[in-house]
Order: sequence, then structure tokens, then C-alpha cells
Amino acid sequence: MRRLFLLWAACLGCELRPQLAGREVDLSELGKRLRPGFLLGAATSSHQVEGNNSNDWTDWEETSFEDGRPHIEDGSRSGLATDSYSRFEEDLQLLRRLGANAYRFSIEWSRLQPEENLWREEVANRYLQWAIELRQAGIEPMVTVHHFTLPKWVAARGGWESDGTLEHFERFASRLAGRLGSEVDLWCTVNEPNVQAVQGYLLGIWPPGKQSNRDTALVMARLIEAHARAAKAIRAADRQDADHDGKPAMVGLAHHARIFQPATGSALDASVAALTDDFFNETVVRAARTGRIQLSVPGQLDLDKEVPGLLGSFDYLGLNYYTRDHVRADLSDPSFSHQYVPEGRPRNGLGWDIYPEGLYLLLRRFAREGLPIYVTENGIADNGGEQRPTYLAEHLFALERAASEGVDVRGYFHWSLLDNFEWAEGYEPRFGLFRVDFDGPERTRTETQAVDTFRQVARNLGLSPAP
Amino acid sequence: MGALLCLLLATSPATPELLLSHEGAMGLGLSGVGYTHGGGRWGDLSLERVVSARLVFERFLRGLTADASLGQSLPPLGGGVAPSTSLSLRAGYTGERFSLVGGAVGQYSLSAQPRLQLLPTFRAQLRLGELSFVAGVFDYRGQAPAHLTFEVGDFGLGYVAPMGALVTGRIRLAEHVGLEATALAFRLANAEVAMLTISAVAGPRSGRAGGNR
Repeated sequence: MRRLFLLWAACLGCELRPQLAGREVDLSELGKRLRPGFLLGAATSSHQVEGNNSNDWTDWEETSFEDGRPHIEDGSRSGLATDSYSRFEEDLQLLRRLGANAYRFSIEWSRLQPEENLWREEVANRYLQWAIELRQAGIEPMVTVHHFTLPKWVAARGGWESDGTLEHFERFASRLAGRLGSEVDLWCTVNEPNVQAVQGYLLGIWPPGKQSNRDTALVMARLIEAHARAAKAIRAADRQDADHDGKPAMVGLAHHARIFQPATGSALDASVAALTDDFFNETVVRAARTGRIQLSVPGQLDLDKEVPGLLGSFDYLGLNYYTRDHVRADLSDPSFSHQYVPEGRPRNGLGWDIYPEGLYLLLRRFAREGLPIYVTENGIADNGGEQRPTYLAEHLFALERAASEGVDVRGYFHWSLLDNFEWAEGYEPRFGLFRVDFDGPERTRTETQAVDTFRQVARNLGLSPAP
Repeated sequence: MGALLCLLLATSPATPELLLSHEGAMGLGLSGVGYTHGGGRWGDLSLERVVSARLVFERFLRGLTADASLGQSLPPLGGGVAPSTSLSLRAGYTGERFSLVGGAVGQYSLSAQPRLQLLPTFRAQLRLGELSFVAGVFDYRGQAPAHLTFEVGDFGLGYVAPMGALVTGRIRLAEHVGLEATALAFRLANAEVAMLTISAVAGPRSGRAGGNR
């Protein structure tokens, strides 16, 4: 019977779901089939780790919703975070301990340019020094230009609701690429445009806390346009080929994609899952493919806009993958949709479905765009650290399988190097390969079990983790 | 007097035949739901089991019509859509040339949240000579959002909104028994739904040409 179904599915052109769960992953082999030069690393973002920032998010952390609930669930503030701005050397040792050959970090715009006409050269120098030290350690830096936070002066002028922000961001990207281009070749313009738009403008749980379908679509469109402008600026400013591969700049963005699984065989469930997928997963890649931003909010917005420079602005696609949502049409819900994880599914500390098959499916899917892919984020909230080794191994297994089937995937960045400030969830969820003691002023880093897994894969790739 | 009238109605050879009559059906099928993306598609397949019945009162409360359809959707491959059960209950009126029923269709899945999905459902049918027009909203246990079908004799061809088609066909096996196949497929934006069921049907006119829709 199963064969009959497989045949029927093949006739319909459906790509059937692989079964990876429960499969024993041979750690001694994991990674050996990946291409030479594959980047194996970890990722962080400035606001989540640097500490002592002053931006639109720090304002948000200090205020509350109208019903009195704090904007950050556990009532915390980013504050000192992991103090990584002052402890970069320490973090570099962690990367060496992992055997990583790549590190994705972001630049804090508000630190470099706290006011419109103030550029802090000493900050630029520090970021440049990080890139130099990484490269000296054999670690390729991938620099994210915008990872959710804005300087207060930009936010005060409308943030991503304003076209003026595009101008400011383009100038910032240009200047940054000019300063860091000698050491940085891998650029990630914008992190997760869809997530920022949905959290900040649809759900209203991130700054600026709005709830508007129209604004959600407009902001998402503007963030994609910001990518196009930044890509052009970076390519113009970064003329130095730091890694001598013939390309001074590889520019892309980090796209957050999820699996949207229809809950049942109901036509309504399938329709709602399809529409959700199209908006959340497809808008960015369609923009990359066509050079057009196409978004529709029935009755409010019908956007089909060609953006100059968007076509061809992607040298690679960054994929941030974490989980799968089951989607049930629910006419009693204003969004007509309810997303959930069924009982019995393995979950992470935030209740997200652990579904490594999803990474395989998305890699196969996005490979059709003809762009190299970097997995720019993948990780698990796991406070005890027991789930992370398996999570890491299973997702790398999924990646390796996709690669073996011809997907041009060139890197994997685990989220995250360290426990950090997890936005609206505060410090409760722990995503780090290294646990951080947030109670102590030293912010002591401690290995979790997954470090051994990571090191083994690094060795299989021919890398040399520090003892 | 009343009893006499009933007797006359019951025995009168001149009583015209209603458009529909009693019928029961039991069938099996396959369904697929999924969506397209960037040139590819993801989908889930299920085995369908369907039991349905229609009652048309021909004497007492002549024309009163009730139909019920119970479907089970069983995915054979794990990890995707969950098993579910659908029940459609409708009531209405059937005349000599038309029929109209309305009600609700509920779909229940133990592991879904929410477990119950409830929709209105309608089906209207009009016969003009040899041709029948059927319009339905959330017909076929909710799987066809809206359709308009033209039927001639034992065959029907329909449009499923917003972009799809529906085909039905029936072959007679015996005086009161037939075999009916129904296939529908449609796209809604990037969603795709397809279903094929083959049912044995039985009723007073189920084996008649053009007989009992």
C-alpha cells in the first residue's frame, strides 16, 4: 500500500516527506561528505550578546504593554548581556575550542552611529580588529549589517515605516563595508525581514509594537528593499578580496523559513497553510528570483513593485531554520489560522517542534533558486543542554543529505555560540553551545554537551579544534 | 378525510416523481492536499472512506430531504497530516425539478488544535430537461469550497472555484445498484486539493440511467 501511495505521489509531482527522526546518526562520519571549504561555525547578534547597548530595543525593554505586562516576558533587560563587546577574545577562544572555521556576528548600528552625524571610529576599529583576529585564527567572518535593532534616532524618524531609513541604512552599509571590507567578504545585509515585520508590526510583541496587516507587509517590503540597497552599497565599497577567492564581497540576507504543515487533509487547513507559507517563506525568495516585491493584504494593500537593484542582489541565500508549525484553519480566530505543535512531538524549551526533516526540505526547496545557500542559523532552546547534541547531529545529517543530493549548501552556523538575550523571551531560553552565567559579573562561559558533537563534526571536516 | 387523502396520494399513479430519491453509498478513495512554492510542491496523501445516505420523503411530508455523509481520512505515511473524520448533515426540500439542502459539515481530528472545524454547507440542484445544474458550497464534506456542475445522464462535469474541476460518472450494475466515481481537484492561490472516490450506490433508482443525483 505504501508503495502505491509513493507512486501516486510521484505522479502528482509531490515531494514526499523524508523520515529522519529516530535514525541513528553516525557521528564519526557526520560531515565527511561535505564539500571542501564548507564553513562550520556559530552565530550571534550584537544586541543579544554585546551588552550596554542603547537602541530602539533598550527603550522597548524598559516599557510595558497597555495591560501592564512587561515587554520582555521575564521582565529582564538586555543590560550587560554576555558582555561580548568587552570579551571578544574570550569568545574567540570558544570558537577555536569548537574548531569552527566561521563566525557570524552583527554590527550594532547604534554603537557606531549613535546620532545621525556622529560616526564612532573607535567602534569601527574594534569591529575591524575582531575580523582581523578571526581571520588570523582561520575563522571566516560573516557580518550581519542589520539584526533587528535600530539606533534611536532612526527609530524616532519612523524606523522601517519610513523611506528615509532606506537612505540612512544604505549610507551606513556603504561606510561599514568600506571600513571592514579588507577583512570581510561574507556580508549578510538584513536578518529575517519576515520575522521583524511579523513580530513588530503584526503581533506587536517587538518594537514598535504595532498590529497592522498593512504595515507588516510594507515593512517587510522595505526590509527587502533595504537589502537591495545595502547589497549595492557593499559591493561598491568592499573592493578587497580578503579570502582571495576572486570575489571581494558575497552578499545575501538571512531568511527565516519554517515548515507550515496542514494539520489535516481538510481543504481549509491546506489553504491556510499554503497562504501562510507563501507570505512567510516565499516572499523573500520570490523577490530574489524576480526582482519584484509582491505582497497582498486583501482590501488593504496590493503591492507589486519592481525594486531597482534587487534582481541580482543575492550572491547567496541565508537560511535560518528552527522548527515546523502545524496549521489549522480556525474561523473563530481573526487570522483564520491557528499554529501549534501536536501533542507527543519532541519540542525544544520554547515548545517548538524539533523537525530536522524541515531543514532538508527547505534546502531542497531553496536550491531551486540557483543560489548557494548558507544555513545562517539553526539551533535549540535547551536549558539543560541534553537535547542539543542530538539536535545538532540530526540537523547536520539533514544538511549533509541535501548536499549529497546536489544542493549547493556552503556553510552551517549554529545558533548560538553563547546563551544570550532572546528578545521578548529575555534570558530564560538558552540557545548557547556555551552556557553563560548571567548572575555573575564575569559572565562565565561553560561548555554544554553539544560542544563535543560540534568538535567531532569539525574534525570530520578536517578542521582542528583547540584542545 | 385525511386518511383518504393520504391513501390517494400514496396510490395515485399520477403523482410525479421527485428529482431525487433515497440512496445509500459506500466508497473508498484517495485525497491529496498541499501547496506549491517556487516551482515545487509539498503534499500529503490520505486514504478516504466514505459512507453516505439520502432520505427523500415521497409520501408523508413529501419532498422533505435529509442527507448525511461520513468520511474518514487516513494518511498512510506518518509525520504529516493527522487522521480526521468528517460528518456532513443537511436537510431541505426536493421538488420535481429542484432540490435544495443545507446544513453543516464538521471535521474532527483528535490531534488537531482546535479539534473540530465547523462549516456551513449547501447543495442546490435544478433539472432542465435532460440537463441538471448542481451548485454546492463546502460540498463533498467541505472539500469543494464552491462548485457548479452540469450533469447529463450519468455524467457530470463541473467547475470548482476558484480554479478547478469536478467530474462525476456512474455506471449501472443492477436495477437498484450502481458504481459512482467522483474526482475533484482545485487550486486556491498556491494551495492544491485533489480527491478521487469510487462508491457503490444503492437505492430505488440507483441503477437507472441518469437516475439519482
